[in-house]
Amino acid sequence: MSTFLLTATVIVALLIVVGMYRIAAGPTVFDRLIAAALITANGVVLLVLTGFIFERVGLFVDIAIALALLAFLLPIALGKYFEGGRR
Amino acid sequence: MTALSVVLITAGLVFLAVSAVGVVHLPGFFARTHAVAKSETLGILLVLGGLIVHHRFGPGSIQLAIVIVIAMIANPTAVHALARAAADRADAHAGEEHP
Repeated sequence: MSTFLLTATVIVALLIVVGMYRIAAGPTVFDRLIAAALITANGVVLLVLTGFIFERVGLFVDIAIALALLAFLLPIALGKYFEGGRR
Repeated sequence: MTALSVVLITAGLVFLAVSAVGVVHLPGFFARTHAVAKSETLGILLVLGGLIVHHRFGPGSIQLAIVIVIAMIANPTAVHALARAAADRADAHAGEEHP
């Protein structure tokens, strides 16, 4: 049971590393931003899985709520910034 | 660990893997927004739903449901904000297959 969750956590961490390739090799800045959104969303899943491994679900889910809200606000603020400069 | 939670978490990991491979492999910025907005959100939903079932709807399930709702609202909206900001720029349209 805990082996399965540990394997799932390792797989999600490897997917974060895969997403980092697009941050390094994106031609435009928007490619890097979309890879950052991918990494942040995977980080939310990683936090919840870590909470289940350490048997402290309530603490890690609270941190995951904070990270999900940050992942919501950051691309919207950056989109407003990139859109406003063209006017 | 029920069988249903194992099935849900495995399906969610498959969708997360499809999303990550799609961001690396698809040509052009606007194709990559498909991978992050749709497949990633479904992967988050399935993995967290499987963890709620594994937790047997215990004390932390309300907060897990809040994370699911936030992710389902926030992830496509944030990707849409980035895509709308990139729609007017010529450099984001650069690497597409069918311009």
